[in-house]
Amino acid sequence: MAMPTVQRRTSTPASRLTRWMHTLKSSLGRPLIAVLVAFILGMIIVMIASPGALGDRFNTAVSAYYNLVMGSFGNIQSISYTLAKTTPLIFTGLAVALAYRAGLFNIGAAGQLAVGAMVAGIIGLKLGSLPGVILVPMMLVASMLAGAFWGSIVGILKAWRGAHEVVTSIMLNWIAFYVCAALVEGPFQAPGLSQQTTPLSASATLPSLANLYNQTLGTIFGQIPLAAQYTVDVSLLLAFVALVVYWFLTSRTTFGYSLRVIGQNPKAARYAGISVKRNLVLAMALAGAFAGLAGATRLMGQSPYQLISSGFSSDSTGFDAIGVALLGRTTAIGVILSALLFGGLQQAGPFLQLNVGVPGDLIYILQALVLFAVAVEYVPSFQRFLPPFMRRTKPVLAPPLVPNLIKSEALLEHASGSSTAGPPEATLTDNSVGATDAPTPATSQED
Amino acid sequence: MRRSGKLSLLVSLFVLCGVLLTACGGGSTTGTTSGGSSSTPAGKTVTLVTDIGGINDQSFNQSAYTGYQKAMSQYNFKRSVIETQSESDYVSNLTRAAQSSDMVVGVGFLMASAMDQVARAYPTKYFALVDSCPTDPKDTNKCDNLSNVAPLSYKEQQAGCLAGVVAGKMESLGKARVSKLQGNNTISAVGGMEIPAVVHYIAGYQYCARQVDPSVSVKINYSNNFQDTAKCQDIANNQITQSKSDFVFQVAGGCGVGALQAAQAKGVYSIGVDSDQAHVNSSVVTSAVKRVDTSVYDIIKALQGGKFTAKPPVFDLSNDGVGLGSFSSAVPAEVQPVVNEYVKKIKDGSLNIPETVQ
Repeated sequence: MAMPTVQRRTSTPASRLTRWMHTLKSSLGRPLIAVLVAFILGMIIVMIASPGALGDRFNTAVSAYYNLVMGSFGNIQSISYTLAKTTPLIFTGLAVALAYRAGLFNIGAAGQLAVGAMVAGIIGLKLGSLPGVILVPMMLVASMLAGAFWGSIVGILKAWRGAHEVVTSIMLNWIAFYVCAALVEGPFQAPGLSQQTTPLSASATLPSLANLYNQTLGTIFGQIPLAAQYTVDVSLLLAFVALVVYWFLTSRTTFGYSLRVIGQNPKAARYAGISVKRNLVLAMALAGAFAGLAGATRLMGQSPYQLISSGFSSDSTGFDAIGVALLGRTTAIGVILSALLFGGLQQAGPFLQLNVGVPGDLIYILQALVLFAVAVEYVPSFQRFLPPFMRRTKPVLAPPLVPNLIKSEALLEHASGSSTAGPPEATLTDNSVGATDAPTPATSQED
Repeated sequence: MRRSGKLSLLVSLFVLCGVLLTACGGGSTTGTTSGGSSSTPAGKTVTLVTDIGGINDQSFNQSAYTGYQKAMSQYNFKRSVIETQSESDYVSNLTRAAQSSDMVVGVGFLMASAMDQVARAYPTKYFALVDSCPTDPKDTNKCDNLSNVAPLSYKEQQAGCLAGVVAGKMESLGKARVSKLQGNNTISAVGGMEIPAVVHYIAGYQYCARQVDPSVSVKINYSNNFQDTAKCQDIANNQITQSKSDFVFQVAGGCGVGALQAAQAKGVYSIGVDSDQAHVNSSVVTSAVKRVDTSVYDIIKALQGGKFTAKPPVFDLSNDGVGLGSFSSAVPAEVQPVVNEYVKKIKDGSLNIPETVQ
């Protein structure tokens, strides 16, 4: 039984692959099961809600899921719609995830998004005559600053006044919604229309990916026909950049490390000389900047390129982001996968209504069930019923709020079974693996 | 331990492969379903895209759905309805609808720009827009006259006028016949926002109430809101207690329900809007009705008969596009003849109702 410790340190390509697969399995396990449980429950709900004999009900449920897949990823156009929905979910998902790393539950992404969209909109409407090269970056930066400002209010209140971030961010949401709505209905209302602004001028918008391709590479490699029906815009690329920035910040910088320490134990962090207050504010500001970008890029990238006053409070992106971040276990890869899931679900809603006659609300039921399943953490209770070889799960990619507890328990178990020389080294490597999400230099030195 | 680890790896790999395979399997069967659905419909297919309220909103969307259902049973096309969940979905919902059917009926003025874009992208499909017209992004002030979009508009002032006739007549009958009058000979209206559709209602209400009872004074306020019942309740309370208004005419959608409640609480009368709101409470004497259902049915009927036009008639009293809801028991019998007289006058064109508040 002392073997594993030694074998874990050899790093032949095969064993690296094995370890990578282990990591993948243990980090994907819980979210996948959560999604699976949600889909099974959703199926039961459709069967209860639909009319007809049991066989008909089953058929309805099956065709509902079939259409769910077709509506979200069934053809290129659907995929492009899904990606367009995914983009703001990625941004806001990162906004929630980043704050979560620091132990803050950012419910305020919706408000930060609204503020970002509004500020970008104001600049786009007021300075619409500027050329796009100047205007677009200006709007993006302004939306980030606005979101960061809105987010940092929460951070400051938390750091210096101890106000709970859940309460303050919810309150700030409503302030943001109504201030923005008042601005849209007041000074920025389109002449002749109500509750909406004039659409942005062409120079203030982001081109769709298909159009961009047609104007650049398309001239060499052939045009995409009917480019207008592929709506996903270049902000998807910005979202990827944001993901990389997020990954780098959280796992390659001292800032990211400080955040994680604060998230796990603020007192220990202070004791270790980390400025908790500064980092909390910074984390919330960055989170707000991500969310602000979500608002600006959707306004600038998706038609009808206008702000609608009732749209701020009815938009669920900021709240879905909580699900995206938690289901994705706050990792960059996780956020992108769960944003795709949520974006796909939402995009399939109309498709479902059209083709199956199932109310589009099924989508929201499914989302809620996924969240519920994540929150309940089914895996531990299921494990008792699993055969022994499936019981081992060690969250490695995951940065949960109580990771050290789980890990140290596992280590203790390990230590009691193996030689006494094992534990200290194991603790070291385990920590560094957890911290960087990747094979560490320490392991390769062992060769 | 090693062996079991590999086993679980294998299992997870299988699961992954399975997921990928099912995804691919889904793609290959597309052709059969789309082929199947295209052979079934008897009439031209129509998709209804509602606004955020959904088909049970007791108002516009529901009324449009009623008309849609009527047409559906008559022309035997497959039910296809999209309830919009978020304002950012207008374009994608309208596009999906345009791709899957011959005509798209959009409900609500917030779709004006989205409808314009989608209708331009699908010039061979037909569109109808309830209560608005498609607007060009470059000039939101005027309608974009597209040959495949039918804007459904209404003469709200006629419905408002009839409501004003009821209120004016009841005022002139006096406290002997109408028990809850406060004696100041004042009626009022709560508008949602100073937009054409709302102003038309109120203009007609004011004009005709004064025609019937020249001494009546009309108090008008706007809540600048269509959702928040509390706001309209406040405004109505002020009108009732300070101006001693006897009739509160609400023209503010969901917000206006608060005005109806205020009238009930203060023991005066109220008048509903858009659909027959007698069910809200007993203070509602009648409602100024906009028959969205009739207009939706008519435009679908035109399409099925091959007579679609981008310039449908404006819906008014003569084609049952606007009208008055049922009377409550508080309305004396003398009112009905006066209303009938005004209906006749409006229909034969002898009464010209202004579109703006005087």
